[in-house]
Amino acid sequence: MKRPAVLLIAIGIVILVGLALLLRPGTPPAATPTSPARAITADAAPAQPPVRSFDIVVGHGRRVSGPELIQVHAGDNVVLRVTSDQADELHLHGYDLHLHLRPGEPGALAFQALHSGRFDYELHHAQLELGALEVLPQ
Amino acid sequence: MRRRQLLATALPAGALLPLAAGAHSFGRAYNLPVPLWLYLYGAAAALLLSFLVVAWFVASPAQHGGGGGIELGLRPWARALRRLHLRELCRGLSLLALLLCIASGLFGTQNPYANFNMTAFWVGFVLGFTYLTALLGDLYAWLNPWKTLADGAAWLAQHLLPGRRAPLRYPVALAWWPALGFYMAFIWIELFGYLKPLPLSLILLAYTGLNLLGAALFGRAAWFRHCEFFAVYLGLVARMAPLQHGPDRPGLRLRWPFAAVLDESPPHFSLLLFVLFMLSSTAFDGLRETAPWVKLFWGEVYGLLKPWVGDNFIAAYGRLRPWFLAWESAALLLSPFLYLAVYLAFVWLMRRLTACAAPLGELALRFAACLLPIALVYNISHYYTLLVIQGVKLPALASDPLGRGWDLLGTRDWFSAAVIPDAGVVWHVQVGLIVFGHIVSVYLAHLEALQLFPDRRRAVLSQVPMLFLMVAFTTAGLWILSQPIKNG
Repeated sequence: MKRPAVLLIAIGIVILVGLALLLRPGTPPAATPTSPARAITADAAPAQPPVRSFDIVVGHGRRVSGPELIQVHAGDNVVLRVTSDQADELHLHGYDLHLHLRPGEPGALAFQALHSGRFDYELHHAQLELGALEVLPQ
Repeated sequence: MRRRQLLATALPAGALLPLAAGAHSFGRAYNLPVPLWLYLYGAAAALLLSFLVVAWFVASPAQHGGGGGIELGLRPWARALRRLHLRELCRGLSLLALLLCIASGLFGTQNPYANFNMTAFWVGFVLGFTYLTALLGDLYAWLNPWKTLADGAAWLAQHLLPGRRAPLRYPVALAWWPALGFYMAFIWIELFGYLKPLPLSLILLAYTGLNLLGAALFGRAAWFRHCEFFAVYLGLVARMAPLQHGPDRPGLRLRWPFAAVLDESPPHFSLLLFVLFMLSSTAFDGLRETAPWVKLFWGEVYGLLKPWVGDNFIAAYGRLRPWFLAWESAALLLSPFLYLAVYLAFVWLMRRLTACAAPLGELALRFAACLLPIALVYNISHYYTLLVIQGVKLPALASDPLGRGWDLLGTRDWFSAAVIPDAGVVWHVQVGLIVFGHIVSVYLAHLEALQLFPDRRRAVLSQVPMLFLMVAFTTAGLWILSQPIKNG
C-alpha cells in the first residue's frame, strides 16, 4: 500500500479512538472483570441487585396513576404491581411475561431484567398500551 | 441460565397469544434510543473522517477507480454450478414462496405472528432479501416471481395466439414514475396499513394481477425495468454488492463492494427521487416513533387548533385522529421532495463554487447514486434488529404456515425462545454502520467528481458542499436514532 494511504488510515483510527476516549462517559472502575478488588468484595458479600418496584393503577380503561416509562438497569430486580378495576391480563413484550389480574386486586410481576432494550407492556382485554420498560445496558 | 429462564417463560405464551388487534404494525424491535454521547461520537466521526477522505484525494497522485474486477463466470466451479440448474430451482422456489404467502393469508390464521406470510414477506423478503442482495448482487433479476408468472403467461399467449405482440409502447415520459408510485404506496401500507395476513394476501394478489396486466400491455422488458418497484429497488441495492451479474449481462464479476455504484448515474429525475425516497422513508419511519414527532402534532398543532376542537383532549383526540393520519401520510409522501430541495441546494452551491457549465439537473443526477450507501446503512441500522428478532421465526413458521399446529418440515420448534439483542451492541452497530456508509458515500462522490472535473482543484472544491450535505443527512439519521421513543 502507498504511504499516504497507510498514514491516513492511521490518522482515521487515531480520530476514532480519540473521540471515543473523549466522549465516552466514565465507567466505574469496578466494572472491569479482572479487577481483584471486585472479586474480593463479591466473595465477602454477594452484591444483591437492587429491587425496583413500580405501582400502576388502571380504572375505566385508563391509567389512573403510576409511571408510563419505567427505566431500570440491566440486572435489576423489577416488581411491576398493577391494579385494574376489571379482570385483565398484563403482557410485557420481549420478556413475554403474562399476569392475570383480578378486579381490584393488585397483581405483581416480579422478574430480573437481564435483557437490555425497550419493552412495551399492555393490558390485553382493555387493549390498553400502558407504557414501556426501558432496560439500559450496564 | 439466562437463556433457560427466558425459555421457560417464553415457551407457553409466545406462540399462542394474539397481540392487541390493530394496536401496532407488524413486528417489534426492542430498540433503545442511542445515548447522547454515542450520537455525538457518530456525528463527529463522520465529519472528521470526511475531511480525511478529502485529504486522501488531495494527497493521492493518481485516480483511483473501482476497477473492472475479476471475471468468475468461466471458472470451472461456476460452470459446474450452472450445470446444476440452480437458477431454475431458485426461480421455482421463489414462485412457490409467493404462492405460499398468498395462500397462507387466505386460508390460515389471522394472528399476524402465527401466520407464515407476515414474517416471510415483511421480514424475510423486504428486509432479509434486500441485505442478501447487497451481498450477492441482483439475484432478484433472476428469480422475480412476478416475472416468472409473466413469462409463463407470455409463453401461454404465444401458443394460443401466435404472433401476438404487446399492444402498447411504454411511454418514455413515464420513466420510473410508476415504480416510485408503487414504492410510496408500499411504504404507506407498511407504516399505516396495520395489515393482517388476509389483507396482505389480497394486496399481493392485486399486485400480481397488476404485474401480469402491465407486462401484457407494455411488454415484459419495459414493465419490469420501469414499473415493478421491487425490481427497481433491488436493482439499485445490488449495485453495492461485490458480485455483479444479471440476465442481460454475461458472466459473474467479483468487484470491490460499492464499485459498481458509479457505473451508471440515474438517467432520469424519477430515479433520483426514488433514491431519495429510500433515504427519507426510512428516516420518516424512525422519526414517527419518537416522542418529539408525536409532541409536534398533539402538542403544537393541537394547541393551535384548540379554538375549533375544544379543550377536552379526549374528545379532541377522537376527532383529530384521522387528521393525524393525513398529517403523517403527507409528511411521508412529501419527505423525498424535502430531501430533494436540500440536495438541489447543495448541488447548486457546488455548481456555483466550481463555475461548472453543466446544468443543475445533470449535476444532480450525476451524484445521486453516491447517496445509495447512506440509504442502505440507514435501512440496516433501523431494521436489522427486527430481522434478528422476527426473522429467526421463519423456519418454525414455514413448518406451520397456516398456524394450525402442523409440523410439515419438522422445524416447528426452532428458535422458539425470544431472541433479544443486547441494546449496547445494537447502539454500536447502528452508529458504526452509519459512519461507515457515510464515508463510502463521501468517497464515491469524490471519485465521481474526479471524472466530472478534469482539474483536481475544482474536483476537490466541488466536494465541499457535497461533504456537508452528507454530514447533514448522516447527522439527521443519528439524531433520529437518539431521540426518546414515544409511548404506546
